[in-house]
Amino acid sequence: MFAIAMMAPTVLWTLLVLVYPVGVTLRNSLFNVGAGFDPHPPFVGLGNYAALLADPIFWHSVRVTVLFALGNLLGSFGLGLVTAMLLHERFWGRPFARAVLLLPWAMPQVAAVVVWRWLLQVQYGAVNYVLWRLHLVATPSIQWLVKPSLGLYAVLAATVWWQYPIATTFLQAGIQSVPVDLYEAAGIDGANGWQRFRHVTWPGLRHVRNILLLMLLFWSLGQVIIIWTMTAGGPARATQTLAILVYQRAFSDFQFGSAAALATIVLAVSLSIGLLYYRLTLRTAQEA
Amino acid sequence: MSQPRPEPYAEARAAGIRTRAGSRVPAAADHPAPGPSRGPRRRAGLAAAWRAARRGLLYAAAILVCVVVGFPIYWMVTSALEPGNLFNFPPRFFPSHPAWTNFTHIFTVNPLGRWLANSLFVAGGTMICSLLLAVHAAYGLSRFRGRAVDGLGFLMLVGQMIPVTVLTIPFYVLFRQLHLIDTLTGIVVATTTFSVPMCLWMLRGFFDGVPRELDEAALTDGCTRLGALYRVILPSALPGVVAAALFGFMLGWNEFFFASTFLSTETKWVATVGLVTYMSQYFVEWSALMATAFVITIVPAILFMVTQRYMMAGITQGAVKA
Repeated sequence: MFAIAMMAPTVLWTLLVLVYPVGVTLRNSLFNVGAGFDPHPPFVGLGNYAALLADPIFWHSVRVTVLFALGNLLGSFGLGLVTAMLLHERFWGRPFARAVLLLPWAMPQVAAVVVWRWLLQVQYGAVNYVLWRLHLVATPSIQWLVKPSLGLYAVLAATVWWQYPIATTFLQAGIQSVPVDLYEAAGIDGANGWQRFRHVTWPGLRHVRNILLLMLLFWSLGQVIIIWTMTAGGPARATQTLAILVYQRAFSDFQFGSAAALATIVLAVSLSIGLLYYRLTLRTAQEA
Repeated sequence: MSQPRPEPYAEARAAGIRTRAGSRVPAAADHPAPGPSRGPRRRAGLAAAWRAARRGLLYAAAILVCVVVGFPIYWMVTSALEPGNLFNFPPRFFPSHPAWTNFTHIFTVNPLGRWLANSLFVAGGTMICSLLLAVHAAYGLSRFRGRAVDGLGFLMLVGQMIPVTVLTIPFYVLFRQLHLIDTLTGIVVATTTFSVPMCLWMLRGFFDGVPRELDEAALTDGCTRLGALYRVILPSALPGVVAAALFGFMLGWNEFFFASTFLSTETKWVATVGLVTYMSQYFVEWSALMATAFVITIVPAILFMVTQRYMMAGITQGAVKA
C-alpha cells in the first residue's frame, strides 16, 4: 500500500503526460484531422492506416529507418567496443583519454550537429580536406549534405560520434564484470590476445551486449534532434526516418490524422522492442 | 551483476585453479633462472621485446583513437578562437591569431545571455521536477515487489522509449488546453516526461545498493517511511541522487524539439533553439557559431566531467538490471 502511495504522484504525472497523449494519438489516427483542429473531424476508421500502407513515402521511410538504425548500431557498438577495450588496459594518461572519449556524449546534440556541419562544409570543411590529402577522394569538395546518396552517411557520422560513449560505458562495465581468473586461466592455456577476446571477453559480454543493442535500437528509432537539425530529413528524403516523417506530416503537411496513424505504428514498434527488453532483463534478474 | 557462466571456459577455469595450486611452470619465462643455459634468457628477452611492442601498439592505438574522436571538439575550440569567417583553404589546423572577440561578439548579435538564462530555467526546472517524482517512485520500486509495482515499472520504461516527435502533436493539443504554449514551464513539463523514467531507473539501482537494515533501523528508531527515505536512504545514496539530478539537468539543457515547436517569442527561446536558428541564417558565420556551440557545451560538459563516474554507473546499472 505504501509503495502505491509513493508512486502515486509519478503515476498521475504519467497518466497526464504519457497515457493521455497516447490516447489522443490513437483517437486521432481514426479521424481525418486537418489543420484547424476541427472539434468534430470526420471519422475514417482505418483509412489513415490504409493510406499509409499504400504510400511509397512511408515504405521509403521504413527503409531509411532500418538503414539508419543498422548504421548506428554497427558504428556505435563497434567504436564503443574498441574504446572500451582500450580503456580497460592500463596506460599513462588513461584518465585523460577517458575524458576525451566520453566527452561527445556530454555535448548537447545541437552543438554536436553545428560542429559536424562545419566539419563537413563543402569548400572549407576539415573532413573534405583531410580525405583529399590522404588521396581517399578525388576532389576536395564533396557535398555531404546536398547529395542524396551521402546524406545518410553524414547524419550517421554525427550520430555515431555523439552516441558511442554510452556504448563504451556499457561495454566497459561488462568487461570489468568478467572474472579476472578466467583471463589468467586462458593465459596459462596459451591463449593469445585474439583468442582471449573471442573465448573469454565476448561470451562474458553476452548479457550487456544484448541490452546495449536493444537500447541502441531504441535510441536510433527515437533519434530526431541530430537528423532534424542536420538535414531535416533531406536531401530528397534521404534521411527521412519514421520519427522525422511523423513530425513533417503534422507540422509541414498539417495532416494530423495521418501523422497520428504513423505515430501509432511507431509506438507499436517501440512497445514490442520494449517488451523484448523487459523479458530479457527480467529473465536475468530471475537467474541472479 | 551476475553473469550466467558460459560453458567454453569452465574447463580452462578448472585448469587455472589446478595449475595455480601446483607448480608454476609457465612462469619460468618471466624469471629466468641464473645458469649456463642461454635458452631461457633469450626467451626472456623476446618476451620483454614483445611486451614493449605491445605497449607501443597500445599507446599508438590510444593516441589514434583520441585524435580521431577528439578532433571535432578540438576543431570547435580552434575555430571559436579564430576571428573572421574561417574561409581558408587549406583549413588552418592551428589558430593563427587566437582571440576572444568571437565570444563577446555572439552576445551582442543575439540575445544569447537571455537564451542561456532560459536554458538554465528549463534545465533546473526539469531537474527539480524529475527528482521530486523519481525519488519517491524509485524508493517504492526498490523496496517493494508485486504485480502493480512491476507494471508501473514497465510503464516507466516504455515511456522513455517513445520518440519525442510522436508526443509533439498530443502535447500541442494538451498544452493549448493548459495554456502552456509559448511558456518555459511547458517545456519543463514536456522534458520532465522524458527524464523521469531514466532518473527513476538510475535511482532505483542506487537505492538497491543501500542495505534494507538501514530502513529497518530507522523505522525502529521511530522514523516514518518517508522520514527513513529522507534522513537515511537519500544521504546514503547521495552520489546516485546527484547523478540522477544532473542527468535531468543535462536533458533539460539539451532540449530542442519541444522548445523549437512550442516557443515562438524570440526572448523565450532556449540556447539550443537560438543556436540552430543562428546556423540556418543565410550568411553563416562559422567562427561565431563555433563560439556559441562552445558556450552551450561548456555547462553540461563540466557537470558531466565532475560526476561522470556516478552518472555512467547509474545509467548502466539502471539499464542492465530489471
